[in-house]
Amino acid sequence: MVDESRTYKMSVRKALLDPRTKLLLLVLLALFCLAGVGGAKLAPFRACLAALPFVLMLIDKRTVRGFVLLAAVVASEAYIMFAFTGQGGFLEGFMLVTTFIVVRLAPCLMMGSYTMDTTSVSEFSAAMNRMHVPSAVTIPFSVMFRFFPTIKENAANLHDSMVMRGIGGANLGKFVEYRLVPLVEVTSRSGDELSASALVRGLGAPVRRTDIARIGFGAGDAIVMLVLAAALAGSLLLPWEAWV
Amino acid sequence: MEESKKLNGKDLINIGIYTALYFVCVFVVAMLGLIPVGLLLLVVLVPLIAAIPFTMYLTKVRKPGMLFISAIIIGVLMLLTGMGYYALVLSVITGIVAELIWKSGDYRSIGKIAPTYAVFNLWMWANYLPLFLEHDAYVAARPDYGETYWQALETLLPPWMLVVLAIACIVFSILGALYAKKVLAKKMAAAGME
Repeated sequence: MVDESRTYKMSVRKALLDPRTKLLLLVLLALFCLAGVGGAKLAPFRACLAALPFVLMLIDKRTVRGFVLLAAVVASEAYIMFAFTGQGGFLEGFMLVTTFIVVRLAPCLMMGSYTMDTTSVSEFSAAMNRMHVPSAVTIPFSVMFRFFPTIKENAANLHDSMVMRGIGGANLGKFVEYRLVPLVEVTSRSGDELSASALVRGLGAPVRRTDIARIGFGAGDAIVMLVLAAALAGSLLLPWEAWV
Repeated sequence: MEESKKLNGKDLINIGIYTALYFVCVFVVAMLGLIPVGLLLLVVLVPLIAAIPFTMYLTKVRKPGMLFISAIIIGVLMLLTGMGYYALVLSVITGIVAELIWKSGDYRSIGKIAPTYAVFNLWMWANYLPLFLEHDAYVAARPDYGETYWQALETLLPPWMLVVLAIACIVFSILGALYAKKVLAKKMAAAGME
């Protein structure tokens, strides 16, 4: 999910899609593309749904990642359709599992990557508040994203200081003792500081919190829903099998 | 000193921090999972490494609801990163069970760490479900791949592998927890755990 400091400007501009729409799309993608609900009859709907994250990425200028993932999917599909012979052997087994994972997970992962890339933590917690998720879940959730950069920084600092003392972390035992345990300790200590500052700003207060992030359903959400509804109706009602 | 048993702001922040540390362990290993063999290593490596932050988490917060909230957050994250809703469904269940086990030790029993951790980690197993199960639905959805493809896949990813993966997850969780207990023995004693 996007770092707050970088997205402050973005949250002033309203995002293309509401976080709740993105969540819905993630669930739909998992249902139809990952699990294959609906069988062959819904193939056009599934294709529309799978193409959606890619289109969204293009619109939101995440083209590079979009094209990399698309290339992976196309290459895997091509392998399954044309290069796969069914003779067995290690290489083919390896390729088979790899391409299967890519084809099956890619649409979902693409949507996931898009969601994480375009939703700021404050937008997401605003969305969770609107969905009446209790603060016992939303607070740890935002703290967690606040701490990923801190953990990374602490890990890098620990690495430097251990290198300086000549403690290389090649084996797992040393890694745990000299890196992992101190990392948890240090991070937990900065957490205590965060608790203090958050309490001063009224985190524990029994009032309803407000959000800066402007979220809400808009034209983008409406278009996505209309496209999906049209695709669903089309693949259910039209005799599309006859045209292929 | 009798502290309140209800989660306050500080506890919620700690839950967030330790869940973040736990998730970083998962994430680092999941990066290896981009190659298929790494995916299978997820249930071996994550339980071993994440045992340290998790055990320290159990030492630090010790209030009802902590594990349940962590489990839900991890499930939501899996949904957000595009791994499907399976992990969310399973993590709600494992979160409750882990919570109950940990509660049965009154949030301070060292002996309960290993079973709590083993149950908590089982959410990972849900990530494999779409790869091994529901082949039939997926086959029906993609008839253009041909029969040989599905047969080859069925031999490479047989459903019984799921059982092996679940057992591996439990075994390595227990090993990880035992190791973490050894490393963190002093800290746990200092925190008054028994």
